[in-house]
Amino acid sequence: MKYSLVAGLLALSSLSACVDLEELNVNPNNATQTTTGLLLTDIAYDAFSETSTTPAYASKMLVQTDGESDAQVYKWTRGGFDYYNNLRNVVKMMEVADAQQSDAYKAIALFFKAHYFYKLTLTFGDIPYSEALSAESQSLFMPKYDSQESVFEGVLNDLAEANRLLTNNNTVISGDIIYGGNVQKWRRLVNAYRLRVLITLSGKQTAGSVNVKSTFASIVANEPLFEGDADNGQVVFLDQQNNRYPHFNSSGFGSGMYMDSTYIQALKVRKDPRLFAIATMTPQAESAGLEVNDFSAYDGGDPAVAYNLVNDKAAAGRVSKPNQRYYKNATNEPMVLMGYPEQQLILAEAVVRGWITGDEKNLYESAVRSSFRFFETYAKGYSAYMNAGAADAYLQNELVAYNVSLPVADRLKRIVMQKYLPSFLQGMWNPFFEHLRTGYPDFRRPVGSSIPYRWMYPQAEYNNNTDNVKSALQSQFDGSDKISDKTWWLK
Amino acid sequence: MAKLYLFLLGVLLCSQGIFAQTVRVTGTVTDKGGVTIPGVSVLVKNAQMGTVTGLDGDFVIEVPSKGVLVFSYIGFASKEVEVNGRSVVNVVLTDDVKVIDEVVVTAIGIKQQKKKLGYTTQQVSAGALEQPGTVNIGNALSGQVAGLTVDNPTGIFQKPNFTLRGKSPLMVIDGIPVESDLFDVSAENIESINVLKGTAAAALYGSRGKDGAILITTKTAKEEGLTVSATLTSMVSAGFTVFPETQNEFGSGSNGKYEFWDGADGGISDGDMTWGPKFEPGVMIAQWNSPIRNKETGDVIPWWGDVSGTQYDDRALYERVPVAWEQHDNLQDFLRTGVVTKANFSVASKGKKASYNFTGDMASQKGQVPNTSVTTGGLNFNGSFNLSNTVQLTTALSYNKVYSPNYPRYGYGPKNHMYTFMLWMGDDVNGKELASHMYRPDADGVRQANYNYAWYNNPYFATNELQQKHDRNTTNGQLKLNWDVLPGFSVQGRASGRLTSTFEDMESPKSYMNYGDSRNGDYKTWNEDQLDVNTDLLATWSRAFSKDAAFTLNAGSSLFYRQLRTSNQSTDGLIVPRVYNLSNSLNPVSANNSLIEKAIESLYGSLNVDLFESVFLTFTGRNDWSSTLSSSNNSYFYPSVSLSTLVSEYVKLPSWMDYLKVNGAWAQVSSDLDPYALESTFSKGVLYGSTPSVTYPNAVDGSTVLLNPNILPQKTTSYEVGVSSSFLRNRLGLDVAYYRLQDENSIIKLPLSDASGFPYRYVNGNEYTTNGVEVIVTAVPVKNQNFTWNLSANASRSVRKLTEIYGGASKFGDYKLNDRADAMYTTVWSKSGDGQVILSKNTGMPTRSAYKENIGHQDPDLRFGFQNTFKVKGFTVQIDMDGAIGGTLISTTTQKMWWGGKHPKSVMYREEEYANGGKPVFVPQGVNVTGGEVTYDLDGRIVSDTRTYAPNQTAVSIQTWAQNYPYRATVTTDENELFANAFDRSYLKLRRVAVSYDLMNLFDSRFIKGLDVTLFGNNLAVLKNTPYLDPDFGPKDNDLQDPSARYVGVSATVKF
Repeated sequence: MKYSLVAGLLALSSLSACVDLEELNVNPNNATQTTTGLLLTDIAYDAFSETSTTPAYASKMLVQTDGESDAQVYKWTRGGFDYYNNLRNVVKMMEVADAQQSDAYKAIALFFKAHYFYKLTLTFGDIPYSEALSAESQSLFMPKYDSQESVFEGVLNDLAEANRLLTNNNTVISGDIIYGGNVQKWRRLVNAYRLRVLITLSGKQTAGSVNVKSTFASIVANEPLFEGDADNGQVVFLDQQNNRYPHFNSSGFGSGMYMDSTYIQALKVRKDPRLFAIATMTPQAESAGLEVNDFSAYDGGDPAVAYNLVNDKAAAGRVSKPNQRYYKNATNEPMVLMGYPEQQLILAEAVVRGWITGDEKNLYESAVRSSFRFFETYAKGYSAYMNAGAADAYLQNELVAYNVSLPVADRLKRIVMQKYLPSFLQGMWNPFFEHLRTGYPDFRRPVGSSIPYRWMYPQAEYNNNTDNVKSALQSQFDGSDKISDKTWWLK
Repeated sequence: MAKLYLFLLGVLLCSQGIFAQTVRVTGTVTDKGGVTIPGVSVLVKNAQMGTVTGLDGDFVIEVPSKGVLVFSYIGFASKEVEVNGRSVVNVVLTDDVKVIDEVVVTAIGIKQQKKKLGYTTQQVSAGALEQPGTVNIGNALSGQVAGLTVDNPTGIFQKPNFTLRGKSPLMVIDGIPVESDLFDVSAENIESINVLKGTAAAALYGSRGKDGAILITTKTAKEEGLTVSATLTSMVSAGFTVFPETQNEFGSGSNGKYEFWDGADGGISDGDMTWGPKFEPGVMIAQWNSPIRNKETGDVIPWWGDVSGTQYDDRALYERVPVAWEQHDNLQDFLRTGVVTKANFSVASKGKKASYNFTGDMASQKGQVPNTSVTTGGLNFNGSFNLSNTVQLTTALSYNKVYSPNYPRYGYGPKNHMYTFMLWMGDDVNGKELASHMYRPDADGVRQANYNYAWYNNPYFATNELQQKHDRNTTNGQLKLNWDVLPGFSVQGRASGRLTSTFEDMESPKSYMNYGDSRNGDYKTWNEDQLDVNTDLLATWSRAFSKDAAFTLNAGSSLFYRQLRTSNQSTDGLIVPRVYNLSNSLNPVSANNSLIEKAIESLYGSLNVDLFESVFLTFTGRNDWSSTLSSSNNSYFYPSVSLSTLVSEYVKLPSWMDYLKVNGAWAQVSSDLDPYALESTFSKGVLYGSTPSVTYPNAVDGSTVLLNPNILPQKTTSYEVGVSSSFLRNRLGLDVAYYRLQDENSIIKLPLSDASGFPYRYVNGNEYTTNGVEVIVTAVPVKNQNFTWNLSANASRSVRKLTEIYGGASKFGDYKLNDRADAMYTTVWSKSGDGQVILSKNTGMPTRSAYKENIGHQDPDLRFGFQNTFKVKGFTVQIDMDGAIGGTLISTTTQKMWWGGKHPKSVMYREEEYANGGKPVFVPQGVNVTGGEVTYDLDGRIVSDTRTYAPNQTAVSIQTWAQNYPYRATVTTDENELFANAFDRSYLKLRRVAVSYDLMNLFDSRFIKGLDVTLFGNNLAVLKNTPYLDPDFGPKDNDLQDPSARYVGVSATVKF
């Protein structure tokens, strides 16, 4: 018996012969291959649902009262390169699209690529572009920096290429949570986005080989653009795990966050009813039984004073907070990456600048009406204040009404203000960059502080891409890395 | 429990007065030279009778006529003498070199005499294991072993964390590597714990033992015949060694003002913070428990919580009636007495053919946090059977259960009661009302009643209504067959399986709040099954050629296989409140599962050569083939060589030196990757409606890493030298070890430019060098007939540095070449050239620097422990202390206490400011820049600096200052003592005091062999520099530790 036991143990010990080590290390839980459609859904959700309260402090819509907000007092230091992580998936989608020879997905991938690089270059100036995202494909770990101008050129060329690929393309794509598989709507978005990038360069004649004004005119003349609200590039939120409005249940809204008085004032002086859907009445107004549509029921905190003073005003019940729908309504409103109103305002501005011809008043008013319809549709409980009649009345307000006889600066201001006013928690840093470009609206700030033009490069670039970031700083700012350094697009 | 005590008492009483026939024996004890030895212990074997020799070495004792006397004295080998009816027994004791002749268990279960070891091991004293302070034996190892650090979390069911020479050691139970948090190991079933410190010591465990090993040996039958024993232990918490102090003068609010409306800034600063009005008699303020009054009719109804969604949510018509603004001791009221009870029962039998040991035990702990408890228990059996003269079969089977119906959630956030009590709840909140009104009057089961609805939970609601359960079953089986084929040649086969099945679930009530978690009720379940199979075969051939030359050759092979299956499921909101079932989910249930497998095949061997009984050489080699590396790189070899020599055998030493041993070792070990880390995969992305998605790549080791299919195993080379000696007949012992570890070819996540598309990639690179020293001193400072004092002290120091960076780069992330691996790079405030904080002239506020600064290192410079044992008459008193010197802790607790206004010092200037009409009176110390400019290089070093300064004169609101300066960047005590948030971690802790007595010294019994009673206290006192916290908890305090409780207890062991 004992021998059989020994033999048994021997057999057990030599079990090793039965284990295929390589086989064992094949991951049974995840796929190694994928399709473009599966990638698109995640990429689109990330890009379209992006939002943050931080830009709202810098754009004078919010004030913080439980700590000094670096954004509010313009004391920030470094930005992040996180968008490159989003771009990793975009590159993957492009690879799969190339392998499958799918023009439609390739075009959409180019759109997202352009979108993220546009945001990155506005944030920093020169950035890694032509050599970026090549760690996996080319083992290139320290990408060189490209000039901001060449990034803009690349962004515009990629968008042009996306438009070309989508021309006469009727593929019904899958995994499209934005336009339900309709690539022609993507084509409109691509072209509208080209207009956004070009108007950003209103201070420039050319970006590399691209002529800003003529390209703009050519797009308007030859390419399909948004035709109405239904073309909005937006993601609609669902009351389901991971699909809810990003600020839903966010604790931050319940303390230390109040509306900025300059923003409230800008809405109040224009008698803009969108205010009712954006902010709450002050507690004092509520106790006094004021109506929702009473403009005197709203007020904000001064963004330029020590915040204990804002606290005092809030304690007196005289400061509004963001409307509860932003954190208590699971679906609230869609996040708009680019919408019809913005396109119409860009076109209006182009008319004002003489880049194209058109009915600027009509463009302007169609933008305002579309924005009202957005609020009417999504701001539950407030639709009555945002109907077509309300838009008509609003367009009569002396600070809103558009008239071609107004001076150019005044017309530009009205156009930019109509981008700014409805952009609460929408569009990330767009209102801030619009301010840098146009000066509208004026951003109130503490004495002695100035508005930065950019962010410092990430510490990780100093550590891991030292030589390249050093030469980028050298060629742009004589070696310094300051938020007060002006980048090419603002020069 | 009470019944068991009664039973034991009965046994005790019944057994009195039963005596066997005895004879009176006298004698003298001398050493080899004929010198009489006083103080020698003379005991009757297997009985509770004994005496001690007098000044002339003589003794008198009553002994059963067939009894056996045991003589023992420190420094001499103990000796057994059969009386055989003699009345005079004279005894000569011979010198003892026991300490180094002692046999210890080493890697893969090979037993070795300590003198032959070329590397360092240290046995944990048995006393320490007997009364651990918690249900987890791990805590008992604190301060016991030089080089072994144990972090002791203060909360119930938080596991201790071990680091050995700065790394994570392998846990081995009876020769089998296991992964265990030690909750599933029965403390009373442990015979001994031996710590293999060096790489050489654990080299035979291959990659799994690369960081050393903790070997746990369970009890087997020791004494011939049948032994039955039982132990009962009870402990209760008795106050606190560390209790967080918070200010109790001001309540909730901001700028001295507060009024509750919706607990989310809808009232006056009712969303957050404790910067509100002062507690003063007569002050009345509307609060969360204020009744509601109809302004028109004057009707008043009682209410608790907010009014959202009710008819009362109309401030034009309703208001809250102000109630008294009073201070409450909420944390003290919340915590209850912790109780730990343990019971253990064992039966052991040893015979010629077979022996076995059977143990059952159960331990339970009632937490200080209401509605929390943990129960652990198990049945352990081991037996060995002599199948023939040459074949021995050993089996072990154990089952352990760890069960907690609910335990607290730690970490930073509203899930943690300490987050609420310590940081974010003002003392104005009436805790007793929170306890008696967990739900709003109109919304039982649906909406909690609370003082805040933005950030926090009612802590009573959280601990009573949220339940998180842990239910773990561990089954362990082992079979070992040893065959002595020929004299000197044996073969051993061993197989073991360990299956750990864990079920966890969490029931979250509606309106429970934890940042982004569902606030609509939630039920989650997690299942995990881990199977570890280890088999090995070992052949041993020993031969002695002469007295001066002998060798032992071991050769073996082994297979390790692990399978981990997990699955988890969760609801998305609940339909019916309090029904915790996946079918009650409001939205689709989400679920996922995974299977992870790994195997390592190995061949190993060792050769021990013993020469002249004084030189001992050991060579070991092991080759592993791991499944986690590519087939071209998955084979790696670990050599080690160690030498131990007894210098005292060939060099004449002074007579006061008992022996001198010198040893040295060299070893190389390698290690592999986690499974599935060679090829990138896609992971699940967002599910939008019913549209699925993927994202690339799946995270590995917690981050996005560009994988490297050609990665090589990493390698650690270690050198170690040691000296050990003892003096004055073992009255003083000294062990010193110095080691140096070089981690080469490390598998590192090399940080990349994010612009490359990946934040990290796997490479082989970087070299880390660890230098360490360990000293152990044992002494018997006092020894006489009535009093002995044994002291064991240890101290260790270990420093790990980054000595080479991949590709010859000058930086690795924030780290520079030759930085300590535990350097703390952190965000600091901008300072002037001479180190003063720069403040804005306009606002008086500081600005964060864009350059991180290294403010110190995390690990202490020195760790130490003292264990004292005093023997007075029949009493044994043990006093253990341990501690650390140096090291830095950045305290999240302190930062947040300042921010929220709970910091004890945050009361200053408040009243002056409020009396001053809210105008700031506090002028922070610092400078304003009056001109000039500074430029930095990429490392944050100043390149040019033309700045000029003036002292700051701008006053800042104290609340504003506290919410920024001590909170949003690191402030060391050197920079500012008052507002510091980084502290020295040094501490000295009185770990344990225990007094034991064997009651059988008072009685005599035929049945009862021993009845030891011990009174003890654990975690008794601490001296420290870090405020509000117990630094023994570990380096991270963002877990927001529970108050560190002191425990006192009693244990009784009866042996039959």
